[in-house]
Amino acid sequence: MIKLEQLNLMLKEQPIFINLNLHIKKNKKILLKMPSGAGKSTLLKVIMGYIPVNSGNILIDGEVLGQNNIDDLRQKFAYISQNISFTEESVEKYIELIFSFQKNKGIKLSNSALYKLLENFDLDKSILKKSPLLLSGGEKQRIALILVLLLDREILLLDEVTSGLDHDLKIKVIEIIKDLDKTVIISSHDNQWLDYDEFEVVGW
Amino acid sequence: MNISFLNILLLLIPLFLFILGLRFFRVNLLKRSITSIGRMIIQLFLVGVYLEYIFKFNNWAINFIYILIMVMVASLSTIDVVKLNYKKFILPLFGAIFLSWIIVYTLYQFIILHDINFFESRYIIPVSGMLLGNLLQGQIIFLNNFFTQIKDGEDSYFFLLSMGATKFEALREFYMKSILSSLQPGLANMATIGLVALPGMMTGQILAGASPFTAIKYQISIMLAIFCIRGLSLIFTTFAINQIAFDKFSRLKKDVFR
Repeated sequence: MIKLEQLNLMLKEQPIFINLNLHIKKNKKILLKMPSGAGKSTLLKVIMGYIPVNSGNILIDGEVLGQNNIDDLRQKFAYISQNISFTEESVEKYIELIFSFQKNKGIKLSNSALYKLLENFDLDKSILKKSPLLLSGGEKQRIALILVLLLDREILLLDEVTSGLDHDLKIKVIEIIKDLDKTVIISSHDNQWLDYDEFEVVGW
Repeated sequence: MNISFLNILLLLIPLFLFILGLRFFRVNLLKRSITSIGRMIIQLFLVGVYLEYIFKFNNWAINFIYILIMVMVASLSTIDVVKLNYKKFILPLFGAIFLSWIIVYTLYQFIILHDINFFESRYIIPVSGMLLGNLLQGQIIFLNNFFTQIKDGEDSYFFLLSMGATKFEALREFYMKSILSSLQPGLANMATIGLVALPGMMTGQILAGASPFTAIKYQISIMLAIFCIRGLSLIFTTFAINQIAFDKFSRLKKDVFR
């Protein structure tokens, strides 16, 4: 499903990946657990084609990621990074914005699914009317996760999505992710992930 | 009424007394004032001299070259202030600015100056100067704002891309905010103009003997044209950036800056 072959990457003259090989099978859940600076977030960005590598290949379903197929391949992914901020005047408007994109025109936004997800993630419906500027880090992370699940992408790349949550909420979010029928790569410092056998710890 | 250079020099005396007085507040502006005032006098003097000749020749080719030079200088100053890559931006910016100028000036000429020859130097040079000077300010605010936003908001941009946005869809918010911040000063200026200060061009016309009513009409027409060209040039620049500043992976190219 996702195959990294002989990846080499230097950033600011520091080697980040040296001949990195990684094979992630469909519906596997990978936990990248390494000290800060090892390149966890960078790896997620590399897989999305946001950071160019010096050499090596990234294969998604057997296709080498390149400039000609990047737009299609990105549609299989959802990527949540550490400091996103939402635009628009309310959370609701932001969700509508994402569903208004050309490529998402075919997906219908179902309110019942949205409400159900809000409940699962322990958020009140009233958050939809809130201005994104008033959201806490943890609320933003959960809204982003909800968006990702609404779009129903095959592969999720989640960068520190539980960092802003308290212990109980972390558990809640982890339990939702572990039951997903999707390929997931998680970068996290939280130890709670380790309590579940579904996540395979990977490092380099 | 003409004024003498001697009298202008006399005006410098109270000015320098004031600047010396500022030292009481430990504001030391002497050196900077001398250079700034000196530059202003020399530059305007030179402009005055060559405009005399340009007006005397009133040759369309010379005037056109003069405009091209103004457009070039405007492009270069924008690139310089925003610290962009000269090679990459000079042509697109030159194109965007020239196109905006030709559209707005042609309209201005047909609607306001229809009795006058298109390349009449007395009109084309000063009007274009005002248009391009304002456009330059607008471009600098816009580009600075846009590139700062995309650097600070990279994560949000990548998130939107992964949520299915095309490059343009993901950048729309940045474009919108930058266009607003670039047009804001012009809007504020139009809303308050005349309440306290009279605009420089109008004051100049009145001092030079025009009736206030004529001066007002020119002022209104010029302000409208300025707002048009500022907005229009931003739209062209937006298209240019969308084309040249990003690679096929929708990443901001590294060589955008110098």
